[in-house]
Amino acid sequence: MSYGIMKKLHEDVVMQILLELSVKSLIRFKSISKILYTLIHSSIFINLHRNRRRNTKDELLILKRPIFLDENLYKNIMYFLSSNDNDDTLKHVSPEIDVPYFENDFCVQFQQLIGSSHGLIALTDYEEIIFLNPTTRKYRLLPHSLFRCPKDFVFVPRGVGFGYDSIEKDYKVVRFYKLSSEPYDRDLEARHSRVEVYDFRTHTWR
Amino acid sequence: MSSSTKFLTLKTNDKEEFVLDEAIAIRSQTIKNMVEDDCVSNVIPLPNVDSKTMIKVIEYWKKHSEEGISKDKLMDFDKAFVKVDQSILYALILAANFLNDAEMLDMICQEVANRIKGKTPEEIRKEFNIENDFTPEEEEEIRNENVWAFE
Repeated sequence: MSYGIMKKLHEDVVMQILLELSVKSLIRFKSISKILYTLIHSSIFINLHRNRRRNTKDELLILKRPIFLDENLYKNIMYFLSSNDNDDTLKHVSPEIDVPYFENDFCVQFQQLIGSSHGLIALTDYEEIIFLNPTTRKYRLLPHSLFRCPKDFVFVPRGVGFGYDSIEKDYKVVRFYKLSSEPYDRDLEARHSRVEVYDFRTHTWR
Repeated sequence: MSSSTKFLTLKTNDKEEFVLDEAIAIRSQTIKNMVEDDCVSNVIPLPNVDSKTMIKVIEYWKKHSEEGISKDKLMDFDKAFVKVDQSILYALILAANFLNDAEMLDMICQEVANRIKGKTPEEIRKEFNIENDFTPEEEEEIRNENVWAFE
């Protein structure tokens, strides 16, 4: 009787059923067929799924454990603990995530959480920035900026921020630099700042 | 009910006719639009719904239109209502979608999701008769990317 039911079902009904599923089920169901893969990956679906009603107020705690591998080479493992309002205990939500890229010892001390938005977390070690999605266990390394420091100048990163642009429906990272002339502040007049914006969708800085 | 109670006749695709209080029938947005646009002459044809399914739909509508029924009672009713064969459940989805009853559609979608959430992709393909159009390599790649989801 259920023969070909998917063909008869409107795409929005299929979508509505999928919206009720957990991320884990959805990731598994991506491999059913190309149509489902495309649907689950579509930005419309992703936005709806993220905004669907939630029963629990989940809080997430990130812990990091650096493992010393070699001189100046560390491996960073992320743990996630979640709490919900039904019970006071912290639960280990997912197995640890091995985050590559953060490999120098500097970041062992200074790895910093830039912020989180809609379940996405941004981390930096002042050189690299990564996005981490604890639910899908995926991460993305941001490309290096195209900005080249002009001759006779030095630049110092001064701040970085992360947020969601609800108008363009895109995640953005904003980074500030201060440029000073070299040798340091030889020319105070030449001192200026530079701002860069990274768009998640195009995966580029501008 | 006021003295101006109006009745509508709904005709399913197997030529059965159902006479229903208009106030209940307009739980269907589709029927409501027809009534509001004044394009209801005498019989409303429902080409996408059979009588067996319509009986279930009307049972649901009547229960949800009962005056003073408690939320708990409705929840118990809903729970029992979706405990049906797969084939009836899918017929109900198609009917709720065609009749445009968001509340009912929501509830059935939730039930379908509950039934399929623990299944493997193979089981889903078989159940819904979906053709696997990935090459074995492509499928392998998606699986390897997300091994944890298959555990």
